[in-house]
Amino acid sequence: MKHAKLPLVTAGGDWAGVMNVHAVRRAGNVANHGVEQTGARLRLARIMFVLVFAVLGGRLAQLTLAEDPQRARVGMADSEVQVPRPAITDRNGVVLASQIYLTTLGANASEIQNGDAVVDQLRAIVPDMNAQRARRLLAGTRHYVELAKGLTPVQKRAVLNLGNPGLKLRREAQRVYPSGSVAAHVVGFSSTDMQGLMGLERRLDAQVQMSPVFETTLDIRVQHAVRESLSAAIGKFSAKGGGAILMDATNGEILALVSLPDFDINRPSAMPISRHFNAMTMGVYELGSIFKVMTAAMALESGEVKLDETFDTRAPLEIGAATIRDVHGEKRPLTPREIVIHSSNIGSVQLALRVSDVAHYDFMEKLGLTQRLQFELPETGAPLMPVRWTDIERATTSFGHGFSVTPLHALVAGAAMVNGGVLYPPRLTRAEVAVGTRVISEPTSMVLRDMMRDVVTIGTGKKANVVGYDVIGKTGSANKPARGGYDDDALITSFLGAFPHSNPRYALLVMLDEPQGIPETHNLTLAGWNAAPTAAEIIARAAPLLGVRPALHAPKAAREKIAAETDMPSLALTTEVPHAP
Amino acid sequence: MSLNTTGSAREGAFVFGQGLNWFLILTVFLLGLVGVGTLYSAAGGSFDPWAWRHGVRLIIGIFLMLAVAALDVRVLYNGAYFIFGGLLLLLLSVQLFGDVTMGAKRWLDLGIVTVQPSEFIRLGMILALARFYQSIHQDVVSHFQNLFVPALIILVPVMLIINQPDLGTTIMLAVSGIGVLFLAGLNWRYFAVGAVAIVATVPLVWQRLFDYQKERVLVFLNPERDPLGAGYHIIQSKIGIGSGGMFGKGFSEGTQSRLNFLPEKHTDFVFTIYAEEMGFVGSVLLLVLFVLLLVQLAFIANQMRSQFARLVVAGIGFSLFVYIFINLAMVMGLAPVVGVPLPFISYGGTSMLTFLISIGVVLSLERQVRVEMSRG
Repeated sequence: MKHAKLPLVTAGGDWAGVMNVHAVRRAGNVANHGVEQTGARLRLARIMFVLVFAVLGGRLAQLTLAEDPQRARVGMADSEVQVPRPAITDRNGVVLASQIYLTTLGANASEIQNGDAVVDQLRAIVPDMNAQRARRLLAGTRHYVELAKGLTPVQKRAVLNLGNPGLKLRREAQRVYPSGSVAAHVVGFSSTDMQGLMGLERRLDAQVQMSPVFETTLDIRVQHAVRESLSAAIGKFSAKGGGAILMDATNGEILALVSLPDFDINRPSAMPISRHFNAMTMGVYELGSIFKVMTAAMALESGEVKLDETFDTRAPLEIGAATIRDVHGEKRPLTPREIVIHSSNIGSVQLALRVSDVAHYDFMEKLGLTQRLQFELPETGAPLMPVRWTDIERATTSFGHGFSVTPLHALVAGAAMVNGGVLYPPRLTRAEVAVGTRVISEPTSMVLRDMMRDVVTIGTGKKANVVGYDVIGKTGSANKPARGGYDDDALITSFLGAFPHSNPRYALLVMLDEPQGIPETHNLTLAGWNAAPTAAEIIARAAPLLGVRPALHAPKAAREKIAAETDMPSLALTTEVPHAP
Repeated sequence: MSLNTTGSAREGAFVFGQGLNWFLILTVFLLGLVGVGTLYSAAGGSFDPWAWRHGVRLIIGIFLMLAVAALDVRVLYNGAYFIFGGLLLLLLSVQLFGDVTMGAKRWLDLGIVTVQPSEFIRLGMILALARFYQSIHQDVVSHFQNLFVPALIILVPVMLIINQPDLGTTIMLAVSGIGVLFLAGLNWRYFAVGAVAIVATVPLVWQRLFDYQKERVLVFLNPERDPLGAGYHIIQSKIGIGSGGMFGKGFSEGTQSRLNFLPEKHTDFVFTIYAEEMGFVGSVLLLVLFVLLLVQLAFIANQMRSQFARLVVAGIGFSLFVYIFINLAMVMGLAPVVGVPLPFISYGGTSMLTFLISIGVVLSLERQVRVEMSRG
């Protein structure tokens, strides 16, 4: 640093020299070096200053915008312990979750003089207390040791009468679930310190305003019936598990949601944690042919496909490197209706490829199949959509393969196909007014109803029929994905149905995980042999509980005659006695 | 630059409002008002016990600030060492007659207000350092013999405060002093050597720290170490800020702080309350206000035509910057909890008065530089 020597600005005396640089400038025509050096350092400081505020702003954004909102609740735990959690009830007021207060016996070990004697006294009052453990704890010096839980009032009084100041009685709240495992995955459970850990119990933690009762749309009677039927079916077909959801197709309210295996929510840790998994809302599966209904809907809605058009399904279809085959080919040209009835893969692919790739994806999106569902349960699964969207992906998607959604996704979309064309998001809380989105036109929905009725009367879903309830539906059997392809022996079978045919009020999805063949099914494992009859079981039990009256039938012969003549059951055919909901 | 100056101002004589930087005053006043609002909210929507006192201090402080702004620069310049010396005596007297609050002996009860001379000394130190560097030539700033006086000016008050004991104020004082040395153009090597020395003495200092101070550092390094104890501050603060989200919960709607999850919410952690209620957008606005203040100080420092004036303004700006930075970094979990208030926002009389008086000094220097300039 070479600087020309300047007259020094000195302290105290020459004030003008201090404050007025112009004098210096005039004298030497050189700037005051101290000032210049400080200026350089100031610039450095300014850079540092910009960096620091950038860091602060970034951190602020990270904390306020990016961090998991769940974290924001952590600190609330203490206060929530004070606020009683609302009871959870079904739609009829049956309590599914509530709390009781228990008396817990503890002690300040350092205040207990003669531990063994005290334990003997307590054993007389609370026989199921672990005496050995109590002796050990009381021999220590800890200020609070827990000795026994759930004392009765009589026991509590007896302990108080001992008059030992070292013994402590605490009142502790505990959640109880009278329905046990019946609605395990919906109700969920809380930890002992009242933190919701699963299901609605967990959702309640996010609830800002706590009303004393949280009423759900579940009907515990229906839930119980569904669970029993499903459980029986899983046993009968030696399935790994299964699930079923019954939904009000006119507003999205869930009446029953069962995922098996399940567990007793009063003792959540007594069973392996794998049972906590809600397969219906969190698991994603390739559900197979039930999506042919959606493909037909898309093709008809686009206007590119006419109902009386035929599609050649005789030869396997080559799409790029893939070959699409039919399981039980009809070896003749099929109408869209027949494609659905006979569950033709080849036909479905041709239906799907009639619409543009963008329109195809948009339709999937509209049905909510590409996004995680907005639902009251925290356990929701995100669909797995193909990464690319070429003809191959579109082809497999048309018959329900190559993409995975939760069973609830399929049911919600399926309900929209038959309820007149309006998609209602699923809900577990009662809706004043159901708000849905129209996804297909009403006439198309009517046509789909009839197609799905035909599946049950003359197609793959015959075993789903329940006399008087006019079940409609579609079966689906999908090989489970395995390493490098599909497992030929492991199926997910499902039945997407609704009833009654004339004006479907309830939609239903039944799914079985790896059902096995039995003599009764001729060792066949397709959905028509297991998922369909299970759906029939469920409907036969649930419909009366739901107040759906069995309908008188139009003569079967007349119906089939007209159906044969028109190649499509006309809407006028559905002149059955209206069902009371 | 001579916007606010007219010919009627002569020789730096004070005519009220003449040559005053009203924009700077407005910035500071706005910050103070944010403080009043936040403290109102912190008390659960009540002016009692903090907001009204904060407001009164703000008003008194602004009058003090204007009074200081009216001072002739010569008084500041010639009096720099005396001001520093006087404050040192005051600091010493705290040792002898001080009041003990929360185990820390750092208050002096003057009857009407209790003051913390440890805050005031910072301004005195900056003045003294600037005065010193004005008196020597730039070429000799880094000469070894010219290190003793500045070292003394910094170390004597630091030692006095360390004894009190107050970690935050001590660090802030030392950092502000070192900042002035840096701005004065001291050779880089000294800072490098200093840094090495600090690292080398960490084990020594560590032993001398009080347990709660050690704990703070350890917990900063790992807040989950003690989530219900010493880490509680940081965790709760982060939760509070985080729960504000984009637009916040709304004024007086904060729950995290309202429900007393947050200790010291009205002093060091006041920003948490603000961020929870005003959200990301509001917090960024507050940051912008602070940036505005600091940018103005930087500009003013640049305008200064003497080393003394420039160092004083820059030193005050740097000190403010460090306070703002350390406080915000602390509440957001980026720095250990060292007990540093947020200037103009945090509740605390001495802090508020020191900053306002410092701004008064800046105003005074700026006013007279303008007068000089317009005259020349």
